[in-house]
Amino acid sequence: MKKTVTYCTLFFLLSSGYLTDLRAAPDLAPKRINGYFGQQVDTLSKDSIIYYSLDPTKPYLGVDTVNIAAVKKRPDLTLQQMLKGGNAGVYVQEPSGEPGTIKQHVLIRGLARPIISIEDVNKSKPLIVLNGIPLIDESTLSYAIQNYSLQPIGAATNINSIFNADNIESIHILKDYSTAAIFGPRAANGVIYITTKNAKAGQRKISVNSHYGYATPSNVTTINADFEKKFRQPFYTKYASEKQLAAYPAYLSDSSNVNFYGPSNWTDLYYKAKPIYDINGSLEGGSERANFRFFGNYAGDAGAADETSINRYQAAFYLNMLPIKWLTISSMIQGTRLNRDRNRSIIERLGETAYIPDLSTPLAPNKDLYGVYLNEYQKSIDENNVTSLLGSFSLNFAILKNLNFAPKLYLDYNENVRNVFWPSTLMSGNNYVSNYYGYNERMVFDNTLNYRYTINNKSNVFVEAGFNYQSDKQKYNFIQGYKGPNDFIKVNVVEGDSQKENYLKAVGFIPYYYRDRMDFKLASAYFRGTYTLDKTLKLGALVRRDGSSAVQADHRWFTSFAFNGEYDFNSLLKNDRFGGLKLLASWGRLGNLPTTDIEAAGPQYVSEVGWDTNKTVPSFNGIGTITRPYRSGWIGYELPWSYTDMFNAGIDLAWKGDKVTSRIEFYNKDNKDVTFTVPTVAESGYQYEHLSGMAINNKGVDFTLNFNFPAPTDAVSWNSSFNIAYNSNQLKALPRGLNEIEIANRKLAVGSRIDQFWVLKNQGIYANDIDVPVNTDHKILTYNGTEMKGGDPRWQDTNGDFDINNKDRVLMGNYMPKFTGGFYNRFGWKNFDLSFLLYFNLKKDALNAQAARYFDFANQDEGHTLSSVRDITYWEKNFDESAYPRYNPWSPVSPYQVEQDMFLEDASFVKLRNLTLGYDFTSMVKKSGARFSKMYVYLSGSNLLTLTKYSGRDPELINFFGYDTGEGLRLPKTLVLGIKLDF
Amino acid sequence: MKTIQQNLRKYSKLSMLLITFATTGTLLSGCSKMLEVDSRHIVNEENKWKDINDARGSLMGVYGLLRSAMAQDNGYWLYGELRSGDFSSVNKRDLDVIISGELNSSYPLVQKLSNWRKFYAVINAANLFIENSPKIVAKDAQYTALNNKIDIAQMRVIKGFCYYLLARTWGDVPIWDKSYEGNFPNIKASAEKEVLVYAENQIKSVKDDLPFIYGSDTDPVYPTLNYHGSNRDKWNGVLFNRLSANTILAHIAAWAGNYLEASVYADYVLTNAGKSGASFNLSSNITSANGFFYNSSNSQLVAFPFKWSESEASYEGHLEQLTLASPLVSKAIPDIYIPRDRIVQIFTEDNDVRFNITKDGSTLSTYFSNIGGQYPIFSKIKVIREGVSGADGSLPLFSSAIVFSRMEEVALLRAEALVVLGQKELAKGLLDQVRKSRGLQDSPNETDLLDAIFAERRRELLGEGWRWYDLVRYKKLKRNDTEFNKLIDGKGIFWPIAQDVLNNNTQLSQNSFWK
Repeated sequence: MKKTVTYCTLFFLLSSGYLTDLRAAPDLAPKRINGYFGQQVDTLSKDSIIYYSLDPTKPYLGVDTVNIAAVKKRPDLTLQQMLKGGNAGVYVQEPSGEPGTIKQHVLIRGLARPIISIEDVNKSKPLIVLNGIPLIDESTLSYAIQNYSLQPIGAATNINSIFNADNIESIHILKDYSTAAIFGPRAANGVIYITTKNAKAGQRKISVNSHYGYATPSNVTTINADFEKKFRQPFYTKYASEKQLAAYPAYLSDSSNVNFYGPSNWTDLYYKAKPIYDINGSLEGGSERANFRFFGNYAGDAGAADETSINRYQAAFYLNMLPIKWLTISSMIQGTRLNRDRNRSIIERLGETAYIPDLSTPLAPNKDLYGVYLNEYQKSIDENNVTSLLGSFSLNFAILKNLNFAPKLYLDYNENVRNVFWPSTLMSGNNYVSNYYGYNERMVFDNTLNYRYTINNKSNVFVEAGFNYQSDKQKYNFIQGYKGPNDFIKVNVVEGDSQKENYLKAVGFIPYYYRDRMDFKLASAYFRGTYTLDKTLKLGALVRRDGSSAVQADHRWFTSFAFNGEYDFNSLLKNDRFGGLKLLASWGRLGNLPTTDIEAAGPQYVSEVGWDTNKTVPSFNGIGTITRPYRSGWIGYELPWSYTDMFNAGIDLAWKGDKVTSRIEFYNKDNKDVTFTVPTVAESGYQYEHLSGMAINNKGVDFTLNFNFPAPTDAVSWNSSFNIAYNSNQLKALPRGLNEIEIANRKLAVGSRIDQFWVLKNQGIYANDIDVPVNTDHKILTYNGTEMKGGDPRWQDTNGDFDINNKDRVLMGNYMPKFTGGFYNRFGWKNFDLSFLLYFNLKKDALNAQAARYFDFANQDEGHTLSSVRDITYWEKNFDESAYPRYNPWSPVSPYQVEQDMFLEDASFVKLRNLTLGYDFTSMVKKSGARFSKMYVYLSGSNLLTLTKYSGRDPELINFFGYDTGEGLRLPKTLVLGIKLDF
Repeated sequence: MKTIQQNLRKYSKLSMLLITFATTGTLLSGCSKMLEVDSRHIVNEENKWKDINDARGSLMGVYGLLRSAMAQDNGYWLYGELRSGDFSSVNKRDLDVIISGELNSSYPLVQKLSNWRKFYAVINAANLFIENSPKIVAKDAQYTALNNKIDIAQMRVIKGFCYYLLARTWGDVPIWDKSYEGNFPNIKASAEKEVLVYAENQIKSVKDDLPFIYGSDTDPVYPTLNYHGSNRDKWNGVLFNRLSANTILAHIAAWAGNYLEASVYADYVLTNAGKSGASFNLSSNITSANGFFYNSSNSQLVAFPFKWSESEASYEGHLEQLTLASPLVSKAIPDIYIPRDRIVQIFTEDNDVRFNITKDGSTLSTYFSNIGGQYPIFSKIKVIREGVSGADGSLPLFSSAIVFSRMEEVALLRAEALVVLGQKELAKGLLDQVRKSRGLQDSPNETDLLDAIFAERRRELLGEGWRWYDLVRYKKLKRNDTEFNKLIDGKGIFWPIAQDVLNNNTQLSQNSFWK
């Protein structure tokens, strides 16, 4: 406390002193090159009442913007989809085509930490801001009670589905700290800043936009038991013992069984065209003193597989008022409801019920039988609803013409509800009910005071001080019930008689109750300043101090800073070959926020006496237990803030009247003092220790080239934008000065990449026992101590000790692509326009776990885990059966383990993300005297073509860990017809 | 309103800024308080060890960890029942390799079982309790010194028990006598003998602090109706009492080959059983779905309950998950079973209620179902959910307790010790007492008494995690099997140490047999 007071005083002195600096004041931002054409970055109009504008304190957001005009013609429902391929340095992962699923993810400029668990993904995400509101993330709280973390329990809906491109004015990507630092520690991984269209003064304006179309079924090759039998036959002939022959799966042994041996036509019921649609409208108008905008939207996206879809209902209202000349009030409220129809896969169902029944017989590939199975779903309940409410209320006091004080209040609240009932017919005789209710809430109280001063009409000084307080709450209640009385009672009924002992306890089902809650607070203060000279030189600096409840009390406050400068050579270059030359650089540091409250507590006690496959044991003999967190790891003191240092330098170049413009930026990003779970001495009882001291470096280059074809006539135009980003990462240090650690099938070694696979090198097969090498001591080559035999893989004995073990594994490949980018082109001819977007990931690898799993049938047959679940998609042929050697699948050396280089594949790809043909009817309708001021019709196809060497389904369907497990639904091709009308 | 602006203009620009920053500064100093958030799902060190609830929660935590250590991966049976045992597996190659003793195999299950961390978690938690719980006595008057003394005694017994389990599974293991709290050292393994001595000393030092019955006003040590808030109905068979300590001591001594001590400790248990209300059980009670394994009772001398009434039933952690199959649960074939011809070899005598073939050739058995089938089901223990017999098995949650020892087991252990000590008459008496309760005649005089005792253990304790350890003790006594002698002398009777464990402790090296 004392320390903080001292600090505050220090800060006070510091800030009242003369800190020069800072980043661009908003209205001073000169035009720069955009990610695409057609977007001007000037956020403020040159309106006469500039100082009384609606949002004078809106920070400078840089020049990286998404081509919203192009996005508007695509049926993208989620923010991640909108961002794909659009901007250099923005990497999007969409490992499932299930609409609205939480399994989508965006990264800016590489990985901030190694991805070992799903929580690490969350820690690498950028901050998403909507009109100044820093949006709250989905919590990872529930993973603590999940035996399987495929996705969080609850609706598992992607909360970034609440944006509609037709309502978006701009999306900025804030990649370096010249722009991101103002958003504080949440912005350490970059910021995606969405500005919606706002209320505007003027005549009533109505816009209506709509599209309708279909997600089309994928073409798949299906297989049946006959294929499988033939596939297995050579293995059985060559290697099977009598015991294994006797255990031949029943569903394969009877070839007269038409259910398995008949036509594999389940796809007729699984892959179906489903409509996708969107209708939205807006109404805006009002006077200079008070104006408004209303936006309403109803949209639906579909997956064309397994009857998956999502619906969005949205309404938003924006109101600006200027009651007195020096006071501006602006406010918004946006409500969204997302209802999702989820997939019916067995693996996700069992992932929730955490109970694995007999898995020996898969679903039959026959349509009739599969239809019977699907009919049982009629009895089920599977509701997944998310309600989001966003609100902001901002004031701006123009105390002086150039002195503004702006207090703001932001609210982000979302509620997540899932209700489930699965009948006994789907659950091998045991029905299941669950109810989840969770919410995430963020309140932000933000104040800025800024002052602008112009010297001699030449140079500008802009200074700003800000104070920001954020309070987060994340909470859930979850009830699971097993084995209800029958399939007609689908809800968890509780005892209503308060006199009874089991009052409010479930009757009928066997109930389990869970609840958890987490609170976070973040307080920040910053001071920044900008100096601009003659629109050629711009210098900026920012210092901030952030305190978080999620960091230990001794280290609660952290100082961050950012400096940046730009120099524009335009005035010096009178050369007519160059259109412009500008140099820019920034350097800054931002703290990183923990995503849980466990680090703040230091040494702690939890209720955690279960084990990996039965995590949720809260009690012993009915009495709550309290122990150290042996399974999740020791947490000591000395866990300071981790932070990111980023240096960024770039050149903007333009040739000949801005027809060709380019920007190249180099960055060097260091994540330091990162807290990581490190395996520890087993005799301590702890599985891990949470230790600070990991350091990761990311460096790369972002390059954007825009080309605006000099049109010979007005009738022809060609705009083109190409972006490519190179990224490379390296582990610089591990906690405690360790050189390497082994964790979860991975090795992290200082000096190597953090996204490598750790695999055995495959060099063929030992055909016979006699081929297995024997060393001079007559020791036969072993695999972890087990002698190798004929039929086993010839793995490279890297260290030559005649035992194949982890020491022989090598670090190979990378699951983060080294190159990402996109290529957008738009051709116009008269009223027609044709545009396409190519999107690519290059130099990226994946482990083809799907193929490995098929070959590993011996272990899959015996397995009793979630990974041995065979869904209906098991009957799709997604691998090349001749590509791998025929090892003895029953061998104890696990010959078809995924982590070997024969399953490591190049997953690079180039995709035709979108092709759109449009026609502008505006001039035609205007002639006819209709009331439209704009009418545009287009036909748009997405996900049309993929070029790849990858042998699996789709190189995009690879999970965050670099494994292609086959769980994700295929990304459907979609085709929509759309219209945009302005009245 | 306009006046505000006019007034403000009077101030210089700088002082305007100063005012604002002063405000900001005040806000900032106030916010450190705001940043103190008490977590709702964890307890930090400051808020721990304050009152009797902390003591109780921590005490239960240690027991809970121990139960998990025994239950996870069904380890208690996979360690004790499979290797060279009576069970065969069906289509489970990872179980096959355990049965045949190829313990360095790389199946994930085998790798997990060779990791001993789970037992050290119990030891760490017990050390932590011993170090910290005395603080509570001063802070909470409800938590008496006597109560604390008894709690600590239990912790020491648990530590001793864990080291015994470690020693019999891995042989030489490191001894951690402190919790070390964050500065975890690499400690060398101590020899098996030293570990057993340490284990014995831990328990011996406190065994007489323990009550016979928790929550009973007639207990000689701690006569109270409510131990930690509950009476004996709640605690029977749950906590380690005086008999538990002596039972474990008897086993430590027997494993170390100190049969004199083993006999003394076992005798203490048998003689004082009445004080705890422990008794011998009818076979029908043992094999009933809601009998011995379902209920918690003091007849379970050392046991870990999964009480249905407390929602602690689980899928894993019960023999039933391995042995039961259709029609008892909805699983076509069991993971492990005893082939029919082996059953007949084990149960050779007439009128054995556990299994016998009657004169007309039909079988009578409380241990097996579906004997005529390809895979006879070992259904001695079958506590499906709340233990209703004939329950539909579509939800294979089980609530049977893990029972380490019961009266029959101790009686047979004492008999074994007495034979070694040459007191054959007494030994035969104990053996015959158990035999009688299972419908058998007195053992014939001409047979090798030690063989007869071990044969009886094999029958009586089938499926209770003893087979492998009995075999080792038997072979150590007999030393008549050269192959097995090699295992004993070369430490092949132990499990290899998991690679993960070796990676993180440079002072350890792999058991020479498995190198």
